Amino acid sequence: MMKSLFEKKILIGIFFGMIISLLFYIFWDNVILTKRENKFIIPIDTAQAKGLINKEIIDKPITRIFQLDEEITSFNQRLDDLYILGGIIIALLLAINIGVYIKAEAEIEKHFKDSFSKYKEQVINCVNEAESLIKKAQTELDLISKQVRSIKADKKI
Amino acid sequence: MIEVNQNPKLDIATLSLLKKKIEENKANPEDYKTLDYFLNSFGYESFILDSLKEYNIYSYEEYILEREKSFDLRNRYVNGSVLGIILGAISALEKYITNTIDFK
Repeated sequence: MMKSLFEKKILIGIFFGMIISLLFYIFWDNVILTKRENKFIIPIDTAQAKGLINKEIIDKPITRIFQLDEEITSFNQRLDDLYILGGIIIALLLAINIGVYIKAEAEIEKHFKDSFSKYKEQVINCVNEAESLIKKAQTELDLISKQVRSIKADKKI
Repeated sequence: MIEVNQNPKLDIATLSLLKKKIEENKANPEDYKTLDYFLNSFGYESFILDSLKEYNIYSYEEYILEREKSFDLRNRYVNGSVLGIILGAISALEKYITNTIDFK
């Protein structure tokens, strides 16, 4: 109950957030930016006089300017395409990496669960073998040294 | 005192056979008794049986049964320490009869 109420509140918050962002964008685009653009518009003659625009550009035919503008726009669009493509590729690589990581983790866990008893048995067998070898050497040493001691004692007598 | 049906001969062939039988758990209680008999002749009375008792195994028959048990049910010392003690005793006997012990 509490969880669903919490989720509802989040959704409403997101919705209002989106509306506020949209309103802010419209306000910014229509009022603030327009005002700024108007403020910075300088008549060509004045701009030329102030040396803000290169004389060669003014002298070029208007079609050439439009063509240049279109070329720049087109170039920018291609760059945007490249950015988007690069972004998609990076996102895909990240997704693949995350997928591989999660899958590997799950596989390891499954393998560990399935084979735990088998590996445990192998480890215990190794431990047993080592214990056996240690005890064998120890027993051999004990028996022989005892015998050697008794023989030496007999010789002394 | 350990009772053995026949008077076994202590030689390399007998010890080698005993060793292989014990390693593969094909030895019967008589074989263990024979081994204890050999050890007894060197002054180690009931050496194998006493070693088994340290690990809560009170007869050769019980030891054989323990070794036949599945991995989960087996006494964990059966295939390790106990087997090592028995093989160590056989190895010591081998050294006695082959005179490879340095008494200096």
